[in-house]
Amino acid sequence: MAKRKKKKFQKKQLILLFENENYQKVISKIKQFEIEGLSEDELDTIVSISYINLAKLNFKQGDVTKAIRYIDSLLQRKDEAEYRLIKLKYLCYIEHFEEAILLGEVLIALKKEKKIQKDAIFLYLMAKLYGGHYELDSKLLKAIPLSKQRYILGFKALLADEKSKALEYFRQCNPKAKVEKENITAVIAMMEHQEIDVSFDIKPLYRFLLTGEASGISNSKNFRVIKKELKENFSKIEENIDIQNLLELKASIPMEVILKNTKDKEQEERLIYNNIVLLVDKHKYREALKIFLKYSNSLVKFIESALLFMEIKNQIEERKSDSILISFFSTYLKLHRKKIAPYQIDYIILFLIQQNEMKKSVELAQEYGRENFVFFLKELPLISEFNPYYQITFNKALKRYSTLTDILLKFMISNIESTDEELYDLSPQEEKIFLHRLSMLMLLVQNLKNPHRKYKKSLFKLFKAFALVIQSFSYHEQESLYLKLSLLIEKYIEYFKVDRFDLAIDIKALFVSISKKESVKKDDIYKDNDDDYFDLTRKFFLEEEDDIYDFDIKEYNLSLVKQKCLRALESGEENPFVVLHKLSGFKYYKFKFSTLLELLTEVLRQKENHLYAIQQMLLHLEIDLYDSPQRDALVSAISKYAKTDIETAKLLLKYALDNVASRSREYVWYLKWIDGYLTLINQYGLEKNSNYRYYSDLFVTIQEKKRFKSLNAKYKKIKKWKEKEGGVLL
Amino acid sequence: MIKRTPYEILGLERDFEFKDIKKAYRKAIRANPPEQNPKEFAMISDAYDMLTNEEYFFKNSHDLYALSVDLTVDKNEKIDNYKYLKNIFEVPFTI
Repeated sequence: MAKRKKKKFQKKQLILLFENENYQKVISKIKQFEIEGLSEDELDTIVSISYINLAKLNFKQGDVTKAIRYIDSLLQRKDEAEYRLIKLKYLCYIEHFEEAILLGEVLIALKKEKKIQKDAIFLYLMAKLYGGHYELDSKLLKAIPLSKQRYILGFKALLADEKSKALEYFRQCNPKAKVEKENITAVIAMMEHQEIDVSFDIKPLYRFLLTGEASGISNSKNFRVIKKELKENFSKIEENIDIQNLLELKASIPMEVILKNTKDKEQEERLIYNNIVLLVDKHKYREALKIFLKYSNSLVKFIESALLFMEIKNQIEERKSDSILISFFSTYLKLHRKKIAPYQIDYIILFLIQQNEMKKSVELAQEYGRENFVFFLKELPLISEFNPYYQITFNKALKRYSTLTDILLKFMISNIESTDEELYDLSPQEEKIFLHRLSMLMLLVQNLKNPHRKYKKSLFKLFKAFALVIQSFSYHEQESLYLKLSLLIEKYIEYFKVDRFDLAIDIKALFVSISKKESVKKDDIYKDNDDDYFDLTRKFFLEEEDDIYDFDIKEYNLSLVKQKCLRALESGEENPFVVLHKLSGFKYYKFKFSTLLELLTEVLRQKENHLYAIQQMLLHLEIDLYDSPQRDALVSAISKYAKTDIETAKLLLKYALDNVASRSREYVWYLKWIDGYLTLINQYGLEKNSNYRYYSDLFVTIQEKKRFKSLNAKYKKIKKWKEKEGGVLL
Repeated sequence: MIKRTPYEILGLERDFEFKDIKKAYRKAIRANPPEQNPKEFAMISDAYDMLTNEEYFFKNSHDLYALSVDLTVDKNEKIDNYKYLKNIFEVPFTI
């Protein structure tokens, strides 16, 4: 049978594979095909390089057995000492020392290849040592370089557990190549427990023993055993570092590390506690809660645990853990009651109330004698008749300031405010009871004796809530309640020296209601009318409080400030206009100017320096006469006020005209001011004096220069008057 | 910030009563007068306020406290890894 002819493969394609370092394919193509145009020498070189590189690559990746297979394939084609040396090295790495020794003896006998012979001696001696033959052939030893001699001697000492002697040899071992130096340094560092920066090039075994990183290590049986052992050693070190970090509060750690590394129960619980604290600190609340719940029975013994638990619960929306709240805090209070301040108990009860545990919270409050809770949360909401006990308790609670009482007052306030939203659902009977309770509460507050000044804010919030809810009822039906509340608020305005301007809009609305003898609260603000989109939108924007009431709060505030300023002027106070700064943010220029004019009238009446007064008023009201919207509002406000007091109106406009710098006068708005002034004089039949003539001339001069179309008619009119009167142009 | 627990700062052992806090505070500040140890003194004062002053407590109730733990670990525990050189063949030279 004729021999089957090999298929052909292009040389060019083979070279391409070779250049791309795809040696596996190169070998495979050579085996399968006949390579066209490739000489024997070229084929030999390509095959040798491919096998060598494949062997080195596999050796580097730790598969030494495979590396040896490639070298054997190469040796079958080309038996050279150089390749045998590589095989010797690989045999050592897979720990086939007996075979290595035999191959070493062959290579040592090749006297012609000096370099190969020296490397073979070194590997041969090392193989003997690893293979358990500790006697060194001194003649062979002397044949190799000094650095290698010392390493072999050092290694022999190491095998004999003579660490210091080994170290001494290794230190003397001074190879020339940089990477060899680094390898020696790594061995010494390992023996002396020193930390070094591990270089990328050092031997994989050294890197592994120093850091635990195992890539590139020969996959020998010994290595697999040692790897397992070392992994445990390294993980022990890592766990120690973890625990140390936890002790130093640097980082939270896995729970299993705590459980594995503590023998003492107390230590373990403390570490768990601190671990949770660290998780909370890093805002990992869910994880923290999970651990806390798991160990809550142990953690409760720590007096600090209540605050930690509350902090976690306050930070996340989670209802599952609610079931243990009462049992945890009941146990906590039983354990720590005698050690903690009463307000700490209050804090826990408050927390439980916020977690919707009202009934149990009040029970705990009763159990631990926290009377204020019982009073504010259980008794006051059900008050039906006035009784001295209520007054005495209320007085006592508000005499001394306590954060808790302040919070309880806020609970009361929020209850009243929420009732206001539910009024439409109340039956007439329920409504009656509610109003009666409201009246009782007002009476309690009215009769308070010297409440602590720190309650000012909360009391006024309470008045705000009262005012809000009362205005939901008709003034005519509940007039006495309106008046009672007004008196109550007046009492505390006086007691706390409150500026009426700073009162809440609900309280101001109450005062307006009393003066108008009707509620100024808009109807139906909470009434459900799902069909009405606009009504829903309005409800949404109820945050804008002044939308609730049917009166102009800005006007009301202005009148408050004006009254205060007038009183200050009348009583001759030193800086009567300072109070005007409260209106500085107002954009209602019309109101601002009318206020200014009214005050100016008073200034003139008192014969005070009106120029200084105008300056001060403009300053505190933060009016810039020359700002566009404000200068337009000026003339309109002056025309309106002229009906009341023409002299004051004229005076302010003249002040404004005179205070515009010459270079800023050539504008339409300035001419409109002049026109406003001239119109006032004409309209009210005042004397056309030198001022009138001066402003007429000024108008004509500017208009002739600027020729504003919109002012042409005015110009002609003034010009006509001037010609008739024989006025002289400026 | 994680702080030391106020109870431990004042040296309060497990079995104490509320009335003991004041005694512990006095003892602690006597041992750490402000002129000698201002930082420690401030810490003691804060710890005392936390345990006895309602307003201070409500204001600072969100603070986090860590417990002291009586445990030492050898972070730098040494393992004689070099001994494994005897078991796995390796040489520092390039051959």
